[in-house]
Amino acid sequence: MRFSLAQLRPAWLRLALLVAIGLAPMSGWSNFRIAWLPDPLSFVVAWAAYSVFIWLLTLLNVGFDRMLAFLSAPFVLALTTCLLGASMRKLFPFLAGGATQEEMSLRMVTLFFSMISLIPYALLVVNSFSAAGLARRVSQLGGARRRLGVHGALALRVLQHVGEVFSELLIAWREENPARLLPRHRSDWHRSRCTSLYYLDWFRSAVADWTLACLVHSLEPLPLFAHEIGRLTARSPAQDERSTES
Amino acid sequence: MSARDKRKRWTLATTGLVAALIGLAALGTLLIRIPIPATTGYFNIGDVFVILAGLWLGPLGGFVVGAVGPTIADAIGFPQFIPATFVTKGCEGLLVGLIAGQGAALRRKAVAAAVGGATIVVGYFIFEAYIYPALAVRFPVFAVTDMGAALVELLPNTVQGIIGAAGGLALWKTVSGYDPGASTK
Repeated sequence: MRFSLAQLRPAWLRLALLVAIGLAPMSGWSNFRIAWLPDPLSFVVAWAAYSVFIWLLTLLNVGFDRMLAFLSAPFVLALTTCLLGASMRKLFPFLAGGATQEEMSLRMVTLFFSMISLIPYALLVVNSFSAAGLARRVSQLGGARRRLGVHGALALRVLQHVGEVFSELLIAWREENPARLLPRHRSDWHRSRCTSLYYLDWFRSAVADWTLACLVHSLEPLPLFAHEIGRLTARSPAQDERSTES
Repeated sequence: MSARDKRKRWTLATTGLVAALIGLAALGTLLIRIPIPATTGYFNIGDVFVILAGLWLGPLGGFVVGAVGPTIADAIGFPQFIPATFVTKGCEGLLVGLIAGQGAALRRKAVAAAVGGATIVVGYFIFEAYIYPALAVRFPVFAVTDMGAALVELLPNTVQGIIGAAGGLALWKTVSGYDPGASTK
C-alpha cells in the first residue's frame, strides 16, 4: 500500500504538513546539528539525514521512477553549482572575501544538500495537489472566489507542467544531443589549440538552447491547459439556476 | 472594448503565462549558480525570465514574476537573500514593464531591458551595503554582508545584469508573437 500525501484531507492540513516539513531549512534554519557529533560533521550528517527523509517521502508518494526523475536534475544542478563555485574561487580569489577554506567548503556542502533535498521537496509540494480537483471544487463557487479559484487552478497546473519539463528536459537532451551536451563526444576539438574557447562557446550555446527549449516546452500546452481548466470549472445551467434562486 | 482595454485585461492566458514564467525564473535562477563566498550570494541567469516577463507582460506581470520566481529559488539554499531578491527583482520586472510600454519598438525595449539589468546591480548593492548591515544589528540572520562584500559583488552582478538584459531581449524577440489567449477562444 502506498502512502500518499495527496489523499490527506482536508487540503489545508496537507498544506500545513508540507509547510512544516520544509519550513525549517527554508527559513534559514541551517544550524540544525546532532548534539553528540563534532561540529562540522554533525552539520553535514543532519543535512544528509534531512535529504534522505525528503527522498523517502518522495519515494512513498510518487513511486521509484518519478522519484528518480525528481532527483536527476537537482543532482546535476547541485554538482554543476559546486564545481563552478570551486572553479570560480580558484580563478577569482577575491570572490572569497576573506572566508577560510573550511568555511567555504561548509557553505558548498550546505548548498549541495539544500539543492538535492529542497528541489525534490518543491516538486513534491506542487504535485501533492490536484489541479483538476481544485477546478471541480471551484466550479461550485460563485463570484470573485470562483474567478480567483479558476486562475489558481490554472497556475497550479502550469507549475506542475514546468516541473515536469525541468525534470525531463536534461535527460531528453542528453540522449538526443550527446555531442551538444557532453563535450567529450566532440573529438574534433582536440585537434585545435583553442579547445578552452570551444568549451566557452559550448557552455554559452548549451545554456541558451536549454533556456529556449525550456521556454518553448513550458508555454506550448498553455492554450490546452486554459481550455481544460475552463471546461472543468464551467457552471452548468442547473447550478446557475440554483444560485439565482438562493 | 477598445484594443487598449483588451491588452490591459488580466485573462486566464495571462495567469498561465505568469505561472510558467515564475516557474522558469525559479529554475533559471537554480540552473547556473556560481556561489560568491564574500556575500554568501550567487551569480545566476534567472533575470533573463524576469526581464522577458516585464517586456512581454507589462509592469504587473513583470513584478509578479520577478518577486515570486527568484524568491522561490532563494529559499533553496540562500534564505537570507529572500527580502533583497523580492524587492530588487520585483522592481526589476516592474521597471522593465513600465519603460517597455505596449508598443513593439525595439529601441525602447532595449532601454527597458538595460534599466532592468542596472536595477539588479543598484538594488543588491543598496541591500548588501546598507540595509542588511543595518538589519543585522537586530537580526543576526542578516549579518552576511557589509560594504566590502557588496563592492566585491558589483562585478558579478553587472555581468548578471548584462546577460539578463541581452537574454531577456533575445527571448522577447523570439516569443513576442505568441498569444496563448488567441488559441483558447
